[in-house]
Amino acid sequence: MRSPQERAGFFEMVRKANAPHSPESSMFFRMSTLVAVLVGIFACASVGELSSASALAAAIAIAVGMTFSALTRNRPWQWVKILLAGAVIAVFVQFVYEVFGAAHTGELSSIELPLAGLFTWVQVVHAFDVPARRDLLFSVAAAGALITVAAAQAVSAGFLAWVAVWLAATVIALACSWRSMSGGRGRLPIGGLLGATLLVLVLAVLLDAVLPPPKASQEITLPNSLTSYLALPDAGGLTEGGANPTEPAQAGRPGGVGGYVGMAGPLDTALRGSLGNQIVMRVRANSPGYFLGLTYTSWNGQSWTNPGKCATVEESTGSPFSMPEEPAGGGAPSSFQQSDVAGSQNVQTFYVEQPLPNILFGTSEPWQIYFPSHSLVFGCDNSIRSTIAMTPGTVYTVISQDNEVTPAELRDVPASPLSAMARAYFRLDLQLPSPDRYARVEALTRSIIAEAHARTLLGEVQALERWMGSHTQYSTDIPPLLPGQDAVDEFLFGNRTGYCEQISTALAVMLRSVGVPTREATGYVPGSFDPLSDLYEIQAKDAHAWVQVYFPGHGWQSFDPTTYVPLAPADPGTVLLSDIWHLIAGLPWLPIGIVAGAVAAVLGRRLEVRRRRALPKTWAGRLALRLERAGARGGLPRAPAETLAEYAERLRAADPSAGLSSLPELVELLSLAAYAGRQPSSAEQAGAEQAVKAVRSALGRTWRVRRRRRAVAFS
Amino acid sequence: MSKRRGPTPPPVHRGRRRLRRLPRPDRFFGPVFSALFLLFAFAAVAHASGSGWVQAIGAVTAGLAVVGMIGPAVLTPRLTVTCVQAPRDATRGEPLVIDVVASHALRCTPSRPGGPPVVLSPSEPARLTITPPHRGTMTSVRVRLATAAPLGLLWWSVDRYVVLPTTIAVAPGLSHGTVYGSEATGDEEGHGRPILALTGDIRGVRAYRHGDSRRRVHWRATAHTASLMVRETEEVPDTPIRIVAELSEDPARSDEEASDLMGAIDGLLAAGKRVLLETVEGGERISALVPDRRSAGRRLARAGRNPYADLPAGGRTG
Repeated sequence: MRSPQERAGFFEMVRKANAPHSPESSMFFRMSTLVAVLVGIFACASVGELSSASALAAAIAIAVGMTFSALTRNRPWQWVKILLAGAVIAVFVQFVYEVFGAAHTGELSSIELPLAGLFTWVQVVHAFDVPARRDLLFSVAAAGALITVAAAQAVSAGFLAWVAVWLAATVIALACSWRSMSGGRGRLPIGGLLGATLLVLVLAVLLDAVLPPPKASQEITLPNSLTSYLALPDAGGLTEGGANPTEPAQAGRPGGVGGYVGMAGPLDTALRGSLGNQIVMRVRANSPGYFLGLTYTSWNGQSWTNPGKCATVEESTGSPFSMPEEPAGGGAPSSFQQSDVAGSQNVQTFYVEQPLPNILFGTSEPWQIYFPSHSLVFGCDNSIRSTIAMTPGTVYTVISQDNEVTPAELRDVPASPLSAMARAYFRLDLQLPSPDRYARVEALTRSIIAEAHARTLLGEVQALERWMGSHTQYSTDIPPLLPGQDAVDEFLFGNRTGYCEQISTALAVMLRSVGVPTREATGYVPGSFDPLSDLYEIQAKDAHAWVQVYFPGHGWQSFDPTTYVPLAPADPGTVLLSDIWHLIAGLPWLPIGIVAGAVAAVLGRRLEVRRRRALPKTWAGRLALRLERAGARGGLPRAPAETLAEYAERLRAADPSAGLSSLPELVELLSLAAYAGRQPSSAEQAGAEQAVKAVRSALGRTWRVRRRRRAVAFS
Repeated sequence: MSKRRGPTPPPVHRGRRRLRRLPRPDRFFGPVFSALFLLFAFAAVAHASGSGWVQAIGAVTAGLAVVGMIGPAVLTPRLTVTCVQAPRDATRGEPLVIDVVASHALRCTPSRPGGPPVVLSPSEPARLTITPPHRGTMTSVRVRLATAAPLGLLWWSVDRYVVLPTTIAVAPGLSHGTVYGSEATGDEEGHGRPILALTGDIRGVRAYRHGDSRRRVHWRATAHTASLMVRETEEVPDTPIRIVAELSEDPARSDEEASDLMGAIDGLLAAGKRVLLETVEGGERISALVPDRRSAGRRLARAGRNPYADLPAGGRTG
């Protein structure tokens, strides 16, 4: 039990801690703190943690609160503290209610939204009582918390702009705090601030570079959420995406986003889409890989399709979904189904940025899917189809059991013919349009294999890939297929130029011609990696086609022959301009515009103040200045040592006909006002201003006449 | 001499005896612990969310913490304070103001002699108040300079010496013990030091004047005249009164002794007497007249052992 002295000491300590501090008078400190807080709030709104209306309301309230605090800083209103305390309690109660409500539904990952709301409204309440430096520093710290909560949901590199503005405002606020601690005199050292900021950035980059990338915790539910719920009319069917995300896919037409044809029905190699740079998805993955969309088995010489109506299996268990044990399309001997090799788990979280076809992507062997719907459909084409539209903002997680088969293990698989039972099972994966159609392709394939002395299945595949790498070229600019023309014949024996569809199709047909089960796979490659968000940014142009080859005992293995094929020569200038344009177009212009606008406003204000300071303070001085400007405009500037009277005389002498007879009276009036202290009456002032206007127009006419005469003289 | 001395000097700010030559953080536990806790929280949130942006902002916050907490350590050795003006005389226990100019915005706390902390701005003269606890001569002042630039997260401080443009003679305080012409007769119980009666031959009586000793009252003449009368004595020859200052080594005791001497000399000078003060200054015995209180103060300041001898006369300054 504490002694009275100890209790008194404790109370004294508490009293001292809560004793009011001296008010902070630096408006720059307050403004930079306000900017830091507003940046945090708008950053939360930009990632969807706050609605636009809430963010705007909070921003206005905070600005009003900060203004109120500044005005009452010397005498804070004590009753305001009581009201604010009640408001803070209400905010916390609301937060607890939202969190427990979220926990009840199991969606613990959505705690970030209530957290953003908590920090925002606490800031709003706090803004009305920030008289001292300590209170402003609390606001700065809370702004850091806000930007951190926003960062937890940030997925794009554009978030860097928010971070940059927040950092600048925080550094300035801290520097203002120091200036206040050190007496509050003098200007902020701009050079020192820039140096400090640069040092902070260097240290941050170094630290971020050495730290391992964070991995999402898997003890709680994995991210999956929706921004809108649009049920598909045809559950189980494929949709196009794009402007009509619920519209069924139509054959022979490029898909919605970027125009890729391979996600929404038959893969017609004769069709060309315009795949742009827009980001369609962002992915966080333990290890990158090819994100499979669907596979094709039937080849007709121009298009890949799947036979008839693709059988599907619908799982209505709700999230998380597990892959069905029996595949769609019927049962099969398990030795031809399961992989014998246990792989590692690859947790991939997809953040949809564009309206996409209703396909869920993932690396090979997905076994669990977290998707916010009641059901999923698993197709015979290895596709995972959602029953709701894939709109921007959709988030889902796929856990794949990556099949880590080493090349040494694959080399153990001999290149032996399939058994009759295997050929029956893989009839679809060995299908060719007609037995003799690809005789040339088969002969070419066998010659390549023989030349490479390939004894194993892996050796055969690699030999073919190497051949393609040395005998074909990659280009998206290829002539269209003519009606009836075979795409593989044209590629292998014709122009030998193509892109992923032609290259992968050629490999698939070559392998099928020698009896290797092969199928065409489409999906996306990982794309570029953003080190700040730890996400792979998949663009529309990252859509890709590759080949899956069946290895007995090891299952379907993916091969990408396109990587072996060199690029056809491109025009460097075009590529450079294209890259520069994309770089400029990809900049976050909104935050840049805001910052530039703020800087321009500050500079403009300073220039205006400086200009006003340079103006004469008296009426006579201002009028004399106008007279000088009129003379300068007329080509007769006033000399530094010239008195006003001498100047006026010079003006009259320059062109007596210009009608400057009122000049002497004007000059006398100004001189009396400036030196004799005789202030002119209102009528005299009005008359003098009229006289200056007349002088100005007269000198302007005179100047034009002189210029004309000079031009005539020199012509 | 009376035991009563001048007013008790105010408590001085005692600086740490250990000189802080290298910059050190002040009260670093709170800021460092808070920064570590904050960074740990960032790591936890980044791990839970798997977001690289959270980790990036944590890295930026770590950068801010490092720059804010280590940056002052880089600046602190470059802090300087220069004294531009200082008085030549001071009194023990009474505040003394010197004018200083700082190279950077900093907090200056005089530690020897002690004084209240002052925030200084660069290139703007400011007044630094110090309170010398002992009499003696000061050639410099030790101060603790501190800064938290550029972000104000953690103060770092270093000790420096500020060389004074002139040597300050800190005179002893003035005690009320006098040897002549004073009403002080010791404590209330009548115990006190004997008062020297500087008198010559009695030559008559006169009316009482303010300041005359009660011992001089001539009661018979007073009874006769019904007004207070005192004996008048012949003026003693105007020979200077020789005072030998033998001060002890102990600074506190020597201060008391010097205060008594100062009071005595002041009383004699006020009475119009000439005083010949004999002191030992810098190992040399000096005997000279002291024409006024200031001279007496300076002589007594230099007498005996100088408590401020450890303060450098030059070299590295603040």
